[in-house]
Amino acid sequence: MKTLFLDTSSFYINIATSDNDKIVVHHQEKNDQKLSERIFFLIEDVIEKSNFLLSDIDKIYVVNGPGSFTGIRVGITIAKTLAWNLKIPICTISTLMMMSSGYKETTIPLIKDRNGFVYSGLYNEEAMKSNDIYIKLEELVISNKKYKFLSYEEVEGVEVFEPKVDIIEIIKKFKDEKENVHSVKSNYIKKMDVEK
Amino acid sequence: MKDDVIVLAIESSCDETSVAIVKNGVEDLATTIFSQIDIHKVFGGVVPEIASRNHEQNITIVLEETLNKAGLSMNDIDAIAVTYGPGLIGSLLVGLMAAKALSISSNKPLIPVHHIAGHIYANNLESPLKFPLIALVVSGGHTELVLMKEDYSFEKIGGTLDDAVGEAYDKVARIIDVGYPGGPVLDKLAQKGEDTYDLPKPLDDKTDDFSFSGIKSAVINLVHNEKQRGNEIRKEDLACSFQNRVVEILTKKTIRAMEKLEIKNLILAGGVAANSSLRRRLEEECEKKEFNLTIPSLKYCTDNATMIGAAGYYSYLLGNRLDGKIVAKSVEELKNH
Repeated sequence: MKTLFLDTSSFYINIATSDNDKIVVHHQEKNDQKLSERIFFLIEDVIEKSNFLLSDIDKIYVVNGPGSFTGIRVGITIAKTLAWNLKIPICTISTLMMMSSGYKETTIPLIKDRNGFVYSGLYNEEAMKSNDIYIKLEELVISNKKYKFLSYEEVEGVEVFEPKVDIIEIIKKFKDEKENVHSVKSNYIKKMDVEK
Repeated sequence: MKDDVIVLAIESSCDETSVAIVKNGVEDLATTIFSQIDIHKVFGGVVPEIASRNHEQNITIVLEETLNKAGLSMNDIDAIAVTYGPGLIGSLLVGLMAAKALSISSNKPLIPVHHIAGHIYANNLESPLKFPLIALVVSGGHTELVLMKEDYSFEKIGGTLDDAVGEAYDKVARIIDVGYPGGPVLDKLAQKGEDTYDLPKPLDDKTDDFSFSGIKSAVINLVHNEKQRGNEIRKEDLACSFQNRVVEILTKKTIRAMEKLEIKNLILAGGVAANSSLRRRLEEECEKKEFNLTIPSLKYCTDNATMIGAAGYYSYLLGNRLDGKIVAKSVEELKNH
Protein backbone atom coordinates (compact mmCIF):
# COMPACT_ATOMS: atom_id res chain seq x y z
CA MET A 1 0.00 0.00 0.00
CA LYS A 2 1.64 3.22 -1.21
CA THR A 3 0.42 6.60 -0.02
CA LEU A 4 1.04 10.29 -0.68
CA PHE A 5 0.68 12.77 2.18
CA LEU A 6 0.26 16.45 1.31
CA ASP A 7 0.19 19.41 3.65
CA THR A 8 0.46 23.01 2.44
CA SER A 9 -1.80 24.53 5.05
CA SER A 10 0.46 26.46 7.40
CA PHE A 11 4.06 27.02 8.57
CA TYR A 12 5.64 24.03 6.92
CA ILE A 13 5.05 22.20 3.71
CA ASN A 14 4.96 18.45 4.38
CA ILE A 15 5.09 16.05 1.48
CA ALA A 16 5.63 12.38 2.22
CA THR A 17 5.33 8.98 0.65
CA SER A 18 4.88 5.75 2.53
CA ASP A 19 4.94 2.09 1.62
CA ASN A 20 3.30 -0.48 3.90
CA ASP A 21 3.22 1.91 6.85
CA LYS A 22 6.85 2.97 6.51
CA ILE A 23 7.98 6.41 5.42
CA VAL A 24 9.83 6.32 2.11
CA VAL A 25 10.52 10.05 1.74
CA HIS A 26 9.37 12.92 3.95
CA HIS A 27 10.20 16.41 2.77
CA GLN A 28 9.53 19.28 5.12
CA GLU A 29 10.34 22.92 4.46
CA LYS A 30 9.21 26.33 5.61
CA ASN A 31 6.16 27.48 3.71
CA ASP A 32 7.60 30.92 3.06
CA GLN A 33 8.21 30.95 -0.68
CA LYS A 34 5.64 31.25 -3.44
CA LEU A 35 3.78 28.02 -2.71
CA SER A 36 1.90 27.71 -5.99
CA GLU A 37 5.06 28.22 -8.05
CA ARG A 38 6.96 25.63 -6.04
CA ILE A 39 4.56 22.92 -4.99
CA PHE A 40 4.67 20.78 -8.13
CA PHE A 41 8.47 20.72 -8.19
CA LEU A 42 8.37 19.41 -4.63
CA ILE A 43 5.67 16.80 -5.26
CA GLU A 44 7.36 15.47 -8.38
CA ASP A 45 10.72 15.46 -6.58
CA VAL A 46 9.36 13.45 -3.62
CA ILE A 47 7.67 10.95 -5.95
CA GLU A 48 10.88 10.54 -7.96
CA LYS A 49 13.10 10.15 -4.89
CA SER A 50 10.69 7.50 -3.62
CA ASN A 51 11.16 5.60 -6.88
CA PHE A 52 7.39 5.79 -7.30
CA LEU A 53 5.26 6.77 -10.23
CA LEU A 54 2.18 8.83 -9.44
CA SER A 55 0.17 5.92 -10.81
CA ASP A 56 1.60 3.67 -8.04
CA ILE A 57 -0.11 5.70 -5.32
CA ASP A 58 -3.00 3.85 -3.65
CA LYS A 59 -4.31 6.60 -1.37
CA ILE A 60 -3.89 10.33 -0.77
CA TYR A 61 -3.94 12.03 2.62
CA VAL A 62 -4.35 15.78 2.50
CA VAL A 63 -4.39 18.40 5.23
CA ASN A 64 -7.52 20.53 4.79
CA GLY A 65 -7.00 23.27 7.38
CA PRO A 66 -7.29 25.38 9.35
CA GLY A 67 -4.45 27.68 8.27
CA SER A 68 -3.71 29.94 5.32
CA PHE A 69 -6.76 30.12 3.03
CA THR A 70 -4.66 29.98 -0.14
CA GLY A 71 -2.32 27.33 1.28
CA ILE A 72 -5.17 25.00 2.18
CA ARG A 73 -6.87 25.56 -1.16
CA VAL A 74 -3.73 24.78 -3.16
CA GLY A 75 -3.29 21.48 -1.30
CA ILE A 76 -6.93 20.45 -1.53
CA THR A 77 -7.24 21.30 -5.23
CA ILE A 78 -4.12 19.30 -6.11
CA ALA A 79 -5.03 16.34 -3.88
CA LYS A 80 -8.62 16.01 -5.02
CA THR A 81 -7.72 16.37 -8.71
CA LEU A 82 -5.01 13.71 -8.34
CA ALA A 83 -7.33 11.37 -6.41
CA TRP A 84 -10.10 11.89 -8.96
CA ASN A 85 -7.86 11.31 -11.98
CA LEU A 86 -6.01 8.34 -10.45
CA LYS A 87 -9.31 6.95 -9.10
CA ILE A 88 -7.91 6.36 -5.63
CA PRO A 89 -9.26 7.06 -2.13
CA ILE A 90 -8.68 10.43 -0.47
CA CYS A 91 -8.77 11.30 3.21
CA THR A 92 -8.62 14.73 4.84
CA ILE A 93 -6.70 15.51 8.03
CA SER A 94 -6.93 18.55 10.28
CA THR A 95 -3.82 20.73 10.47
CA LEU A 96 -4.20 20.70 14.26
CA MET A 97 -4.50 16.93 14.41
CA MET A 98 -1.33 16.67 12.34
CA MET A 99 0.51 19.01 14.74
CA SER A 100 -0.38 16.76 17.68
CA SER A 101 0.12 13.41 15.91
CA GLY A 102 3.57 12.85 17.46
CA TYR A 103 2.28 13.19 21.04
CA LYS A 104 0.81 10.33 23.07
CA GLU A 105 -0.82 12.54 25.70
CA THR A 106 -3.71 14.96 25.22
CA THR A 107 -2.50 18.23 23.70
CA ILE A 108 -3.95 21.50 22.49
CA PRO A 109 -2.38 22.53 19.21
CA LEU A 110 -3.03 26.11 18.16
CA ILE A 111 -2.45 28.39 15.18
CA LYS A 112 -2.41 32.11 15.80
CA ASP A 113 -4.69 34.32 13.76
CA ARG A 114 -5.31 38.04 14.03
CA ASN A 115 -6.77 40.07 16.93
CA GLY A 116 -5.90 37.56 19.66
CA PHE A 117 -7.84 34.72 18.03
CA VAL A 118 -6.49 31.24 17.44
CA TYR A 119 -7.53 28.07 15.67
CA SER A 120 -7.40 25.22 18.13
CA GLY A 121 -8.71 21.82 19.15
CA LEU A 122 -8.23 19.13 21.75
CA TYR A 123 -6.37 16.06 20.55
CA ASN A 124 -5.17 12.75 21.91
CA GLU A 125 -4.34 9.33 20.51
CA GLU A 126 -8.01 8.34 20.25
CA ALA A 127 -9.32 11.51 18.62
CA MET A 128 -10.52 10.69 15.10
CA LYS A 129 -12.73 13.58 14.13
CA SER A 130 -11.63 17.17 13.87
CA ASN A 131 -13.12 19.27 16.68
CA ASP A 132 -11.41 22.48 15.63
CA ILE A 133 -12.68 25.87 16.70
CA TYR A 134 -11.87 29.55 16.27
CA ILE A 135 -11.55 31.10 19.69
CA LYS A 136 -10.01 33.97 21.70
CA LEU A 137 -6.66 32.80 23.05
CA GLU A 138 -7.50 33.90 26.61
CA GLU A 139 -10.68 31.84 26.68
CA LEU A 140 -8.87 28.80 25.38
CA VAL A 141 -6.08 29.07 27.95
CA ILE A 142 -8.29 29.72 30.98
CA SER A 143 -10.30 26.54 30.61
CA ASN A 144 -7.51 24.20 29.52
CA LYS A 145 -4.55 24.91 31.79
CA LYS A 146 -3.83 21.26 32.51
CA TYR A 147 -2.93 20.38 28.90
CA LYS A 148 0.16 20.97 26.80
CA PHE A 149 -0.21 23.73 24.21
CA LEU A 150 1.49 23.23 20.86
CA SER A 151 2.45 25.99 18.43
CA TYR A 152 5.05 26.66 15.73
CA GLU A 153 5.20 30.29 16.85
CA GLU A 154 5.75 31.81 20.24
CA VAL A 155 2.51 32.73 21.97
CA GLU A 156 2.63 35.58 24.46
CA GLY A 157 1.90 34.52 28.01
CA VAL A 158 1.54 30.81 27.21
CA GLU A 159 4.15 28.08 27.42
CA VAL A 160 4.04 26.26 24.11
CA PHE A 161 5.75 23.10 22.89
CA GLU A 162 6.95 22.31 19.39
CA PRO A 163 4.33 20.38 17.38
CA LYS A 164 5.42 16.87 16.36
CA VAL A 165 4.22 15.44 13.05
CA ASP A 166 4.08 11.64 12.87
CA ILE A 167 2.81 10.80 9.43
CA ILE A 168 2.81 7.03 9.97
CA GLU A 169 0.60 7.49 13.04
CA ILE A 170 -1.85 9.46 10.89
CA ILE A 171 -1.79 6.95 8.06
CA LYS A 172 -2.48 4.06 10.43
CA LYS A 173 -5.18 5.92 12.30
CA PHE A 174 -7.04 6.78 9.10
CA LYS A 175 -6.36 3.54 7.28
CA ASP A 176 -10.05 2.74 6.76
CA GLU A 177 -11.22 6.32 6.25
CA LYS A 178 -12.05 7.68 2.83
CA GLU A 179 -14.25 10.44 1.50
CA ASN A 180 -16.15 11.11 -1.71
CA VAL A 181 -13.62 13.07 -3.74
CA HIS A 182 -16.24 15.58 -4.93
CA SER A 183 -17.17 16.48 -1.36
CA VAL A 184 -13.61 16.98 -0.18
CA LYS A 185 -13.16 20.62 0.73
CA SER A 186 -11.11 23.02 2.76
CA ASN A 187 -11.93 23.48 6.42
CA TYR A 188 -11.39 27.23 6.72
CA ILE A 189 -13.42 27.43 9.99
CA LYS A 190 -13.28 31.21 10.13
CA LYS A 191 -15.99 33.05 8.25
CA MET A 192 -15.11 35.68 5.68
CA ASP A 193 -15.84 39.30 6.56
CA VAL A 194 -18.64 39.50 3.97
CA GLU A 195 -20.40 36.47 5.49
CA LYS A 196 -20.65 37.96 8.97
CA MET B 1 -3.76 13.49 -42.96
CA LYS B 2 -2.97 15.15 -39.65
CA ASP B 3 -4.25 13.43 -36.54
CA ASP B 4 -7.03 15.01 -34.52
CA VAL B 5 -6.04 16.94 -31.42
CA ILE B 6 -8.42 16.80 -28.48
CA VAL B 7 -7.89 19.48 -25.85
CA LEU B 8 -9.41 19.47 -22.38
CA ALA B 9 -9.63 23.07 -21.20
CA ILE B 10 -10.14 24.67 -17.79
CA GLU B 11 -11.29 28.25 -17.22
CA SER B 12 -11.61 29.71 -13.72
CA SER B 13 -10.39 33.30 -14.03
CA CYS B 14 -13.42 34.92 -12.41
CA ASP B 15 -16.69 33.44 -11.15
CA GLU B 16 -17.34 30.65 -13.65
CA THR B 17 -15.88 27.19 -13.14
CA SER B 18 -15.80 25.74 -16.62
CA VAL B 19 -14.33 22.69 -18.33
CA ALA B 20 -14.63 21.87 -22.04
CA ILE B 21 -13.36 19.32 -24.51
CA VAL B 22 -12.58 20.76 -27.93
CA LYS B 23 -11.46 18.98 -31.09
CA ASN B 24 -8.97 20.65 -33.43
CA GLY B 25 -9.75 24.12 -32.10
CA VAL B 26 -13.15 24.22 -33.80
CA GLU B 27 -15.45 21.53 -32.49
CA ASP B 28 -17.10 21.72 -29.04
CA LEU B 29 -17.39 18.09 -27.91
CA ALA B 30 -18.65 18.99 -24.43
CA THR B 31 -18.78 22.05 -22.21
CA THR B 32 -19.79 22.50 -18.60
CA ILE B 33 -20.10 25.88 -16.93
CA PHE B 34 -20.80 26.22 -13.24
CA SER B 35 -21.79 29.85 -12.83
CA GLN B 36 -21.56 31.43 -9.40
CA ILE B 37 -23.50 34.48 -10.49
CA ASP B 38 -26.35 33.92 -8.01
CA ILE B 39 -23.87 33.52 -5.17
CA HIS B 40 -22.17 36.85 -5.90
CA LYS B 41 -25.35 38.76 -6.81
CA VAL B 42 -26.10 39.21 -3.11
CA PHE B 43 -22.88 41.23 -2.75
CA GLY B 44 -23.35 43.32 -5.92
CA GLY B 45 -20.15 41.99 -7.45
CA VAL B 46 -17.69 39.11 -7.37
CA VAL B 47 -16.16 38.43 -3.95
CA PRO B 48 -12.73 36.91 -4.74
CA GLU B 49 -12.43 34.61 -1.71
CA ILE B 50 -15.94 33.20 -2.28
CA ALA B 51 -15.14 32.67 -5.96
CA SER B 52 -11.96 30.73 -5.10
CA ARG B 53 -13.80 28.55 -2.58
CA ASN B 54 -16.49 27.67 -5.09
CA HIS B 55 -13.95 26.82 -7.77
CA GLU B 56 -12.21 24.46 -5.33
CA GLN B 57 -15.46 22.74 -4.38
CA ASN B 58 -16.69 22.28 -7.94
CA ILE B 59 -13.62 21.57 -10.03
CA THR B 60 -13.67 17.74 -9.99
CA ILE B 61 -17.45 17.66 -10.43
CA VAL B 62 -17.21 19.86 -13.51
CA LEU B 63 -14.33 17.77 -14.88
CA GLU B 64 -16.24 14.53 -14.47
CA GLU B 65 -19.47 15.87 -15.91
CA THR B 66 -17.68 17.17 -19.01
CA LEU B 67 -15.88 13.89 -19.74
CA ASN B 68 -19.15 12.00 -19.22
CA LYS B 69 -21.03 14.30 -21.60
CA ALA B 70 -18.36 13.80 -24.27
CA GLY B 71 -18.28 10.05 -23.62
CA LEU B 72 -14.49 10.26 -23.26
CA SER B 73 -11.89 9.44 -20.62
CA MET B 74 -8.61 11.21 -19.82
CA ASN B 75 -6.87 8.67 -22.09
CA ASP B 76 -8.59 10.25 -25.10
CA ILE B 77 -7.23 13.71 -24.28
CA ASP B 78 -4.09 14.97 -26.08
CA ALA B 79 -3.42 18.14 -24.11
CA ILE B 80 -4.72 20.18 -21.20
CA ALA B 81 -5.23 23.93 -21.69
CA VAL B 82 -5.72 26.36 -18.85
CA THR B 83 -6.29 30.09 -18.40
CA TYR B 84 -3.24 31.55 -16.60
CA GLY B 85 -4.42 35.18 -16.65
CA PRO B 86 -5.57 37.84 -16.51
CA GLY B 87 -8.14 37.43 -13.75
CA LEU B 88 -8.55 36.97 -10.02
CA ILE B 89 -5.37 35.38 -8.65
CA GLY B 90 -7.10 33.01 -6.23
CA SER B 91 -9.58 31.88 -8.87
CA LEU B 92 -6.90 31.37 -11.52
CA LEU B 93 -4.81 29.36 -9.04
CA VAL B 94 -7.51 26.72 -8.56
CA GLY B 95 -7.71 26.15 -12.33
CA LEU B 96 -3.93 26.09 -12.65
CA MET B 97 -3.41 23.68 -9.74
CA ALA B 98 -6.09 21.31 -11.05
CA ALA B 99 -4.75 21.50 -14.61
CA LYS B 100 -1.18 20.79 -13.52
CA ALA B 101 -2.32 17.91 -11.29
CA LEU B 102 -4.18 16.44 -14.28
CA SER B 103 -1.17 16.98 -16.50
CA ILE B 104 1.33 15.16 -14.24
CA SER B 105 -1.06 12.34 -13.35
CA SER B 106 -1.92 11.56 -16.97
CA ASN B 107 1.32 12.61 -18.73
CA LYS B 108 -0.35 15.17 -21.00
CA PRO B 109 1.22 18.49 -21.97
CA LEU B 110 -0.09 21.59 -20.21
CA ILE B 111 -0.87 24.57 -22.45
CA PRO B 112 -1.09 28.14 -21.11
CA VAL B 113 -3.87 30.28 -22.58
CA HIS B 114 -4.42 34.01 -22.16
CA HIS B 115 -8.04 34.71 -21.25
CA ILE B 116 -8.47 37.25 -24.05
CA ALA B 117 -6.97 34.88 -26.64
CA GLY B 118 -9.78 32.61 -25.50
CA HIS B 119 -12.46 35.26 -26.06
CA ILE B 120 -11.05 35.94 -29.53
CA TYR B 121 -11.03 32.23 -30.41
CA ALA B 122 -14.66 31.86 -29.32
CA ASN B 123 -15.21 33.08 -32.89
CA ASN B 124 -13.27 30.11 -34.26
CA LEU B 125 -16.08 27.92 -32.95
CA GLU B 126 -18.46 29.73 -35.33
CA SER B 127 -16.23 29.63 -38.42
CA PRO B 128 -12.42 29.50 -38.78
CA LEU B 129 -10.85 32.94 -38.42
CA LYS B 130 -9.94 34.73 -41.65
CA PHE B 131 -6.80 36.87 -41.64
CA PRO B 132 -5.83 39.62 -41.38
CA LEU B 133 -8.51 40.60 -38.91
CA ILE B 134 -9.31 43.09 -36.22
CA ALA B 135 -10.79 41.90 -32.96
CA LEU B 136 -12.85 44.22 -30.81
CA VAL B 137 -12.48 42.74 -27.34
CA VAL B 138 -15.06 44.07 -24.89
CA SER B 139 -15.65 42.68 -21.41
CA GLY B 140 -15.69 43.54 -17.72
CA GLY B 141 -11.91 43.80 -17.73
CA HIS B 142 -11.06 44.71 -21.32
CA THR B 143 -11.72 47.11 -24.14
CA GLU B 144 -9.16 46.49 -26.83
CA LEU B 145 -8.64 46.59 -30.57
CA VAL B 146 -6.33 43.75 -31.56
CA LEU B 147 -4.81 43.16 -35.00
CA MET B 148 -4.18 39.54 -36.00
CA LYS B 149 -2.24 38.76 -39.18
CA GLU B 150 -2.25 35.01 -38.59
CA ASP B 151 -3.28 32.42 -36.00
CA TYR B 152 -2.20 33.20 -32.46
CA SER B 153 -0.45 36.45 -33.35
CA PHE B 154 -1.82 39.42 -31.44
CA GLU B 155 -0.96 43.09 -31.88
CA LYS B 156 -2.78 45.58 -29.70
CA ILE B 157 -3.64 48.74 -31.60
CA GLY B 158 -5.88 50.40 -29.05
CA GLY B 159 -7.17 49.99 -25.53
CA THR B 160 -8.94 51.67 -22.68
CA LEU B 161 -7.17 54.39 -20.74
CA ASP B 162 -9.23 53.75 -17.62
CA ASP B 163 -12.38 51.65 -17.08
CA ALA B 164 -13.23 48.69 -19.28
CA VAL B 165 -16.58 48.99 -21.01
CA GLY B 166 -18.18 46.19 -18.98
CA GLU B 167 -16.92 47.80 -15.79
CA ALA B 168 -18.59 51.08 -16.80
CA TYR B 169 -21.86 49.18 -17.37
CA ASP B 170 -21.62 47.59 -13.90
CA LYS B 171 -20.94 50.94 -12.25
CA VAL B 172 -23.73 52.77 -14.03
CA ALA B 173 -26.13 49.93 -13.15
CA ARG B 174 -25.10 50.31 -9.51
CA ILE B 175 -25.59 54.09 -9.56
CA ILE B 176 -29.16 53.77 -10.80
CA ASP B 177 -29.67 50.67 -8.66
CA VAL B 178 -30.93 48.22 -11.27
CA GLY B 179 -28.90 45.14 -10.35
CA TYR B 180 -25.90 43.08 -11.30
CA PRO B 181 -24.34 42.27 -13.71
CA GLY B 182 -24.86 45.67 -15.32
CA GLY B 183 -24.44 44.73 -18.99
CA PRO B 184 -27.53 42.61 -19.61
CA VAL B 185 -29.67 44.67 -17.20
CA LEU B 186 -28.90 48.01 -18.85
CA ASP B 187 -29.17 46.52 -22.33
CA LYS B 188 -32.70 45.35 -21.56
CA LEU B 189 -33.69 48.68 -20.00
CA ALA B 190 -32.19 50.64 -22.91
CA GLN B 191 -34.46 48.83 -25.36
CA LYS B 192 -37.48 50.30 -23.58
CA GLY B 193 -36.08 53.83 -23.34
CA GLU B 194 -35.26 56.84 -25.45
CA ASP B 195 -32.01 58.74 -25.87
CA THR B 196 -33.07 61.86 -23.99
CA TYR B 197 -30.19 62.52 -21.59
CA ASP B 198 -27.31 64.75 -22.59
CA LEU B 199 -24.26 62.56 -21.88
CA PRO B 200 -20.78 63.27 -23.29
CA LYS B 201 -19.24 61.22 -26.09
CA PRO B 202 -16.49 59.09 -24.48
CA LEU B 203 -13.05 60.06 -25.88
CA ASP B 204 -14.27 60.99 -29.34
CA ASP B 205 -10.80 61.76 -30.77
CA LYS B 206 -8.43 60.57 -33.49
CA THR B 207 -6.76 57.81 -31.44
CA ASP B 208 -7.71 54.13 -31.33
CA ASP B 209 -8.05 54.28 -27.55
CA PHE B 210 -11.13 54.34 -25.34
CA SER B 211 -12.07 55.98 -22.06
CA PHE B 212 -15.24 55.34 -20.08
CA SER B 213 -14.56 56.99 -16.73
CA GLY B 214 -15.77 60.37 -18.03
CA ILE B 215 -19.20 59.15 -19.07
CA LYS B 216 -19.47 57.20 -15.82
CA SER B 217 -18.76 60.40 -13.83
CA ALA B 218 -21.28 62.26 -15.99
CA VAL B 219 -23.94 59.70 -15.03
CA ILE B 220 -23.04 60.04 -11.34
CA ASN B 221 -23.32 63.85 -11.54
CA LEU B 222 -26.54 63.71 -13.50
CA VAL B 223 -28.21 61.35 -11.03
CA HIS B 224 -26.98 63.46 -8.12
CA ASN B 225 -28.26 66.73 -9.65
CA GLU B 226 -31.63 65.28 -10.57
CA LYS B 227 -32.03 63.97 -7.02
CA GLN B 228 -31.20 67.41 -5.59
CA ARG B 229 -33.85 68.96 -7.80
CA GLY B 230 -36.30 66.34 -6.68
CA ASN B 231 -36.61 64.88 -10.19
CA GLU B 232 -37.18 61.20 -10.78
CA ILE B 233 -34.53 59.45 -12.93
CA ARG B 234 -36.03 57.84 -16.01
CA LYS B 235 -33.93 54.72 -15.79
CA GLU B 236 -34.86 53.36 -19.22
CA ASP B 237 -33.95 56.64 -20.88
CA LEU B 238 -30.69 56.97 -18.98
CA ALA B 239 -29.75 53.37 -19.89
CA CYS B 240 -30.57 54.11 -23.53
CA SER B 241 -28.58 57.35 -23.59
CA PHE B 242 -25.58 55.70 -21.93
CA GLN B 243 -25.68 52.65 -24.18
CA ASN B 244 -26.00 54.74 -27.35
CA ARG B 245 -22.94 56.83 -26.46
CA VAL B 246 -20.84 53.76 -25.63
CA VAL B 247 -21.89 51.69 -28.63
CA GLU B 248 -21.42 54.62 -31.02
CA ILE B 249 -17.80 55.21 -30.00
CA LEU B 250 -16.95 51.50 -30.05
CA THR B 251 -18.43 51.16 -33.53
CA LYS B 252 -16.90 54.37 -34.88
CA LYS B 253 -13.35 53.65 -33.69
CA THR B 254 -13.46 50.01 -34.76
CA ILE B 255 -14.65 50.75 -38.29
CA ARG B 256 -12.18 53.62 -38.61
CA ALA B 257 -9.27 51.40 -37.55
CA MET B 258 -10.28 48.81 -40.14
CA GLU B 259 -10.42 51.39 -42.91
CA LYS B 260 -7.09 52.87 -41.84
CA LEU B 261 -5.36 49.47 -41.84
CA GLU B 262 -7.32 48.24 -44.87
CA ILE B 263 -8.66 45.19 -43.07
CA LYS B 264 -11.91 43.57 -44.05
CA ASN B 265 -12.44 40.98 -41.31
CA LEU B 266 -13.85 41.95 -37.95
CA ILE B 267 -14.54 39.74 -34.98
CA LEU B 268 -16.26 40.70 -31.77
CA ALA B 269 -15.13 39.09 -28.51
CA GLY B 270 -15.77 39.19 -24.77
CA GLY B 271 -18.78 39.33 -22.49
CA VAL B 272 -20.02 42.66 -23.89
CA ALA B 273 -20.23 40.94 -27.31
CA ALA B 274 -23.61 39.78 -25.98
CA ASN B 275 -24.85 43.38 -26.06
CA SER B 276 -27.72 43.60 -28.53
CA SER B 277 -27.12 47.19 -29.55
CA LEU B 278 -23.39 46.66 -30.18
CA ARG B 279 -24.10 43.56 -32.26
CA ARG B 280 -26.70 45.41 -34.33
CA ARG B 281 -24.61 48.55 -34.95
CA LEU B 282 -21.55 46.56 -36.00
CA GLU B 283 -23.70 44.43 -38.30
CA GLU B 284 -25.15 47.57 -39.94
CA GLU B 285 -21.76 49.23 -40.43
CA CYS B 286 -20.06 46.07 -41.68
CA GLU B 287 -22.82 45.50 -44.19
CA LYS B 288 -22.46 49.07 -45.45
CA LYS B 289 -18.68 48.75 -45.81
CA GLU B 290 -18.80 45.14 -47.03
CA PHE B 291 -16.70 43.90 -44.14
CA ASN B 292 -16.94 40.31 -42.84
CA LEU B 293 -18.19 40.30 -39.27
CA THR B 294 -18.11 37.30 -36.95
CA ILE B 295 -19.87 37.38 -33.59
CA PRO B 296 -19.74 34.44 -31.16
CA SER B 297 -23.05 32.83 -30.29
CA LEU B 298 -24.32 34.07 -26.92
CA LYS B 299 -23.21 30.95 -25.02
CA TYR B 300 -19.56 31.64 -25.97
CA CYS B 301 -19.65 35.35 -25.08
CA THR B 302 -19.50 34.96 -21.32
CA ASP B 303 -16.58 33.13 -19.70
CA ASN B 304 -16.35 29.50 -20.77
CA ALA B 305 -13.68 26.85 -21.22
CA THR B 306 -14.68 26.05 -24.81
CA MET B 307 -12.96 29.19 -26.06
CA ILE B 308 -9.89 28.31 -23.98
CA GLY B 309 -9.85 24.91 -25.68
CA ALA B 310 -10.16 26.55 -29.11
CA ALA B 311 -7.28 28.97 -28.42
CA GLY B 312 -5.35 26.21 -26.61
CA TYR B 313 -5.24 24.15 -29.79
CA TYR B 314 -3.29 26.88 -31.63
CA SER B 315 -1.11 27.54 -28.58
CA TYR B 316 -0.39 23.78 -28.54
CA LEU B 317 0.50 23.74 -32.26
CA LEU B 318 2.97 26.58 -31.63
CA GLY B 319 4.65 24.46 -28.95
CA ASN B 320 3.68 26.61 -25.96
CA ARG B 321 4.00 24.60 -22.75
CA LEU B 322 3.59 25.44 -19.09
CA ASP B 323 6.47 23.31 -17.78
CA GLY B 324 8.25 25.51 -15.31
CA LYS B 325 6.86 27.64 -12.55
CA ILE B 326 3.09 27.82 -12.41
CA VAL B 327 2.29 31.51 -12.16
CA ALA B 328 -1.16 33.06 -12.17
CA LYS B 329 -1.16 36.58 -13.62
CA SER B 330 -3.77 39.04 -12.43
CA VAL B 331 -2.71 41.58 -15.06
CA GLU B 332 -1.14 40.42 -18.28
CA GLU B 333 -0.86 41.85 -21.80
CA LEU B 334 -2.11 39.61 -24.58
CA LYS B 335 0.93 37.72 -25.92
CA ASN B 336 1.62 35.19 -28.62
CA HIS B 337 2.40 32.53 -26.05
